[in-house]
Amino acid sequence: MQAINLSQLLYKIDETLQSQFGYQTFWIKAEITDVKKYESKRWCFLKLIEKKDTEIIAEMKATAWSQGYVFIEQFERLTQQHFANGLQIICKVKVKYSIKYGLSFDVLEIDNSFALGQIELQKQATLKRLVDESNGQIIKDDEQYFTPNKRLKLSIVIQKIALITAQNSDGQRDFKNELLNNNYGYTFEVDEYLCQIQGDNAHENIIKQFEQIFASNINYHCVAMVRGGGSETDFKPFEQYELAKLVANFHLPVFTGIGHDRNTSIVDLMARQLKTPTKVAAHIVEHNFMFENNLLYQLNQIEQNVHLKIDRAKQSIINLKRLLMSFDPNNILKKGYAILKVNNVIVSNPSLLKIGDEIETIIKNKTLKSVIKNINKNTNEE
Amino acid sequence: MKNKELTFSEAQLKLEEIVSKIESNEIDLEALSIKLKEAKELVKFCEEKLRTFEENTK
Repeated sequence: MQAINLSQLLYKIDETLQSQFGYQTFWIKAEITDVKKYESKRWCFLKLIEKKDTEIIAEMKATAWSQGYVFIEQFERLTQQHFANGLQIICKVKVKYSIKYGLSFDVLEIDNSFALGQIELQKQATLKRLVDESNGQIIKDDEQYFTPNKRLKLSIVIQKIALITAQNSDGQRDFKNELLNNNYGYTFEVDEYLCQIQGDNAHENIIKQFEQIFASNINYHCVAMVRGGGSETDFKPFEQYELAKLVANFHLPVFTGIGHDRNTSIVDLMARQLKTPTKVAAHIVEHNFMFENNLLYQLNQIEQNVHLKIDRAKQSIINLKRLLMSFDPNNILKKGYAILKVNNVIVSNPSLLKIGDEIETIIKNKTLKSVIKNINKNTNEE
Repeated sequence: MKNKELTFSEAQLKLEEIVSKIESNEIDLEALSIKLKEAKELVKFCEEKLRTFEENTK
């Protein structure tokens, strides 16, 4: 029996594949799995698979070298999700064979519009499910979602807060810094519920924290869920149905600041979205300031009313005083008028006066005694 | 009723009554000086009350 070396056969395979495929490229649709990224080298090793129901019916190793890796970075930037197992993609591949490493594809390009479309489809499906399975509690109106959580009335003053965040994260630091060093000197009680909020199973950790808050029976005024400083991607936990449903129905108002400036996650739509941890804290401080401001305004209104009343009363007393002064006989005498007395009685009825009566005339600073010699009627009086 | 027991409004009302009586010539000159004395006391009382109000609102 004549045997050839392994490499000889493999070279034959290589030649055959080269003649068949050469530098041809193909656009293929597949699901990705076993994704291993080497960010520093900008390589990604993965498997492309095709499933029928749950069974894998086709599988091929693939590698995205720096040329293809550009599209992975673009995917993560656009979707704010990790390029991770389970995604459906359309990518351009070239068949590659190595006698040492075997058959694989080089991924040259990824159709990110397809990936984006897939993610959006998934998002819309989740949102529809949330609405459909809510018994009318979650309502969609003009791209806005109205949830039981959003309908909860905020406490007039927020002071006791349950904070869900990752330990030693920028989000935790930013939130507490903004809240506890506020310009108005308001004090807050913050209980921290710490967990991993990134990664494939992060939603389960977050759900556990919500359950703990519920079980604590503490009358928190709100829940703040914040995340910041982590990866730009990995918002997948916040697109997850179970977490979104829990938040939509949670008994305490939930504020989200998950550092998600460009897009809005499903969980954001179910709660009060404020984009960043700092903004959540600033909003809470501002909410309390509104209360204080309203109080100050009312106090000011009361003070103004009181001052107005006092001013009016003052004016009224001044007017009365002026009138009284004008009635004072001493003031009347100063103007040249006189008081007549007969037998020490003020003469208020002049017709009783007779010629020969002795009269007392009181003028300013003087009292004159005289006798009536003549009585003439004033011509200007009737 | 002594002024001390009056409220500001009651004192003001009394003052207004005196003024209106004087204006309508219902009071003769003899009674006028008595009423004027009473009115002056009421004015003093009202002014003191007002001063207290103002101090309380500062």
